[in-house]
Amino acid sequence: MATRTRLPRQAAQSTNYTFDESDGSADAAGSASSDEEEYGRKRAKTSKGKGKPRKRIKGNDSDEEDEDDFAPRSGGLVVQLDNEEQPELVEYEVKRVDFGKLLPLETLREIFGYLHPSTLYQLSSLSKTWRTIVKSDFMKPLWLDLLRGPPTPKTEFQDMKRVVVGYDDPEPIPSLNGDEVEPFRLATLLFDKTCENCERGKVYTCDRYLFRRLCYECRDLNLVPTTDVGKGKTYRDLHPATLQVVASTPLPPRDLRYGRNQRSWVLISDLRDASETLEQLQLEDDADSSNKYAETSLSAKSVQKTLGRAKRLKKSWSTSRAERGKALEAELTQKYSPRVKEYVLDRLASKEEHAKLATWIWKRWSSLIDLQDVVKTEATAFDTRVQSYRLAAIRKHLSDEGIFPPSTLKHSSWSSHPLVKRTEPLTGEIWKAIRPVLYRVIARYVALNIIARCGSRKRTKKDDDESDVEAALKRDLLKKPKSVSADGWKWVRPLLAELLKHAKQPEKPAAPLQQGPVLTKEQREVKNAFFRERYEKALDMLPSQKGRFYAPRFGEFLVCPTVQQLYDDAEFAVDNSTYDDDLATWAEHLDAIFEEMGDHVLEVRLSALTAILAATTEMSADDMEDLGADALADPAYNDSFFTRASSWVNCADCDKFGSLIEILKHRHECHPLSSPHAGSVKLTADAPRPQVELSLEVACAWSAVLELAKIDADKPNFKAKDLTKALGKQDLAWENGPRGTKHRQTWSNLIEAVCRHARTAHRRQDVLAVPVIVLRKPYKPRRGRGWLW
Amino acid sequence: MSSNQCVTLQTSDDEQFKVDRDVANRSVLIRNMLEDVGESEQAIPLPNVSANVLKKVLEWCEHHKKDPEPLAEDLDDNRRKTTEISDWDAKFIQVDQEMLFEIILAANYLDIKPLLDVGCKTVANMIKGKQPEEIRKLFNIVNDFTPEEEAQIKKENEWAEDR
Repeated sequence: MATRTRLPRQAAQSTNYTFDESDGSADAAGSASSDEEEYGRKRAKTSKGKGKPRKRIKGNDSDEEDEDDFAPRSGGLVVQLDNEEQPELVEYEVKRVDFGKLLPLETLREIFGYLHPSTLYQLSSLSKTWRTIVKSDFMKPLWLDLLRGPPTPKTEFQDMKRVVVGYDDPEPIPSLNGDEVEPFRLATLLFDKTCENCERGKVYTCDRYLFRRLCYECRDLNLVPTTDVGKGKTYRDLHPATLQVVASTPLPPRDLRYGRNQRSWVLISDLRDASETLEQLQLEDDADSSNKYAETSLSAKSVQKTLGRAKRLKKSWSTSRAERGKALEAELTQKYSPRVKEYVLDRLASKEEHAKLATWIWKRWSSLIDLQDVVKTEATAFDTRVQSYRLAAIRKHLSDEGIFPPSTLKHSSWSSHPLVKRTEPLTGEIWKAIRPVLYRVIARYVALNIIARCGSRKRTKKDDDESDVEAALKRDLLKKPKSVSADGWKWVRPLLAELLKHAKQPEKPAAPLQQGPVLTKEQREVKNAFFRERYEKALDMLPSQKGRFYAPRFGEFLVCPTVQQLYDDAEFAVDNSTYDDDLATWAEHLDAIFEEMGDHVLEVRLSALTAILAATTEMSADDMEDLGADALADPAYNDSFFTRASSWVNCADCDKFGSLIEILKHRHECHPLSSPHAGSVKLTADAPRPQVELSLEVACAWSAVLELAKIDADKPNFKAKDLTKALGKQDLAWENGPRGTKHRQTWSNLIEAVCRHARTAHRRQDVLAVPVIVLRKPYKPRRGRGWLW
Repeated sequence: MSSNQCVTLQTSDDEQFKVDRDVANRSVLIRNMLEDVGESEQAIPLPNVSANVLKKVLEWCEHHKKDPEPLAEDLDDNRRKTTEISDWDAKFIQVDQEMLFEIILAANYLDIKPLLDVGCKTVANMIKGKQPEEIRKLFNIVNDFTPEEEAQIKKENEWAEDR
């Protein structure tokens, strides 16, 4: 189980716990020995002193230096807290009233008037009484008002202002099958959450065209596009008129296998039911007549095609085309037998009414949804308000009782306790019930604070071993601090005792490695200033500017063996008064220092040579290892070797690419291995690291770039501007680069990108494919089109 | 009649409250009674209101005694009704449910429309945004539907015959 150590720092900053002299014998920790009492008295005395208040319990060691008080708390106690610990809760009785049985209907209607119709609909599912109330005729006007929405304001322009001159009544709910739609019934369609098919409560919106509430899964399984009915063999046996009478919806299922061109969907069950009815009517008609009717020659496919054509024509802007569409549909209907025709005409009339209601729902739906959001916001605001009143009331109780000081109440986490955050008013009974829990929360916080703040103690002569220290410390902690009141201590002490059972001293961390001599801040500043000055002088003595770039940086200079030896000397260059002597000592070592600086130059050149040869030649690893300082004496690897285009390298600390001298200059300027803060130096432990790098990927990409620019890679004194000039306005692209690198870019950006991605791949123990670099012609300037008005 | 004249109100548990006429006039019922009876020393009986509820109601009336009468167009407002309550009213109505509904009933009986509104809005706010189960728990409503009745309701909710 995850555990954590919590030190409540905030309060530790504001509260000082000092032990109370007088209370030590009176409190529950009465078993404290005489040593403890002594300890308490001494602590009280010292706390009266002027200056900084003592922050921690100190043992019986008043003779120790004051600075030891603020030494690291190596002996501190740590309480391991359970991260998943559940907050303590308490059950209390709250008066709850089923107001449906209590309030008169008028008042209930008044309350319901503030609700969203979906919430009002939910009330009908609470109990039988509530269903009766919500469904009653008395609530009908309210339902109508809620569903139809408020009247629309009628405005006019008067004196350059828009003024409300009246209100238009909201659009009435259309009738269905000649009857008025019951508002509660409409609400069931709109707001019921249960799927009609699978009876699981997962419906978020009704299908206003099918008048069904179906969940997504049922829609996916049961809806088919009308075009499939015409095409497929599955629906070959359907009555031809089925598609004409069945209800369809333009709302598609979620299933992605259907294309966007599907615009109309029908339910399979509706198809079967309608077909069965039509077949029955057809049979009756066939029985009455000796002749078969014309629809026997029709098929579902032909009807679907005719209907589609008629629909397209009816949608046309041209009246004549629309008329043709209607005529086509009427012509199709005429082909059916009498009973079938009658049924089809009846269904078509019904579908028209359905369409009107569907349109009404469509118009109203978005505003109902918007209103739902508004209502939700209001509900949240109300809950927050109630919570804040409860919090304020509890805070008032706590501060009135004054058991804990305001600073403790401010910092402890009682306010986030679930009992505080409940959205119900705080009554006297509730306060009585939750009071002990909250005081325990605050007391626990104080107890943890005492342990964190005072739970360390110097080992005294009387302490024989580690366990004694811990035991003594625990005994000390159970004495009442002055800052905790007697009433507060009654709450804190049991919790403190409980926590101390689990408290233990943490394992001592390993001693940090000694780095350099132990010096005071002033001494170190003097020493650093001295070495900085010597370093600058040494650089000035170098014969050329180029030599300065090859020279070690300050951090590297300090780890040259002779320099480091002097730097680590605790008595060397720590006092300005001994400056002359120090200078003399330095002068004695100057030759050795210069020699080491020369060695550094050789190391840099050798590491650069190794990197270049490894990436650009096929030398074996053994040959590489054999390369020594002698190799640098080879004329083939002289200064001009490092100025060739094929010898360009990357900085080891960034993506900068250039000749060796450029990179070394860049490193002195951009990675100066010394802290910007005066008097402090960033000693480098990574001095042996190579200064430059050249990965195989970068070498390949660079070679390709040079080839594209038709530049001789082995020509000395190659400059960046030569390449830029050779490429002209053309850019480059890394064709097989990772995502985001394939666009056209300048050669420098491209090489940096290759370097960056190659390093990332190497970290993953991977390599990049050989970069394919191509030229990109410059963009053609667009022909000016002028302004479009 | 002077405005600072006191009126005595007698609760259902025979406790008497002496209040300023301004305060008592917030109740339309009491105002009408006072107008009908005229000046009288007799206590006005309020058989439907207990002492602790009347105390709360009078606290509200005292705070709102100088409020203007609501305008006629405000009463017949065409806009959507919002549940906003003033800070004082919200704090005032932070009582347990028993007291809340007692106050609503008393406001209804005494015909104190603004107080009734505060109560109704508070109840509406308590219901808003909650699921049926949460509402049941909040108001201790017992779900007394039998499985057969639930099935019947589901059937009623379908639009089978209208399709």
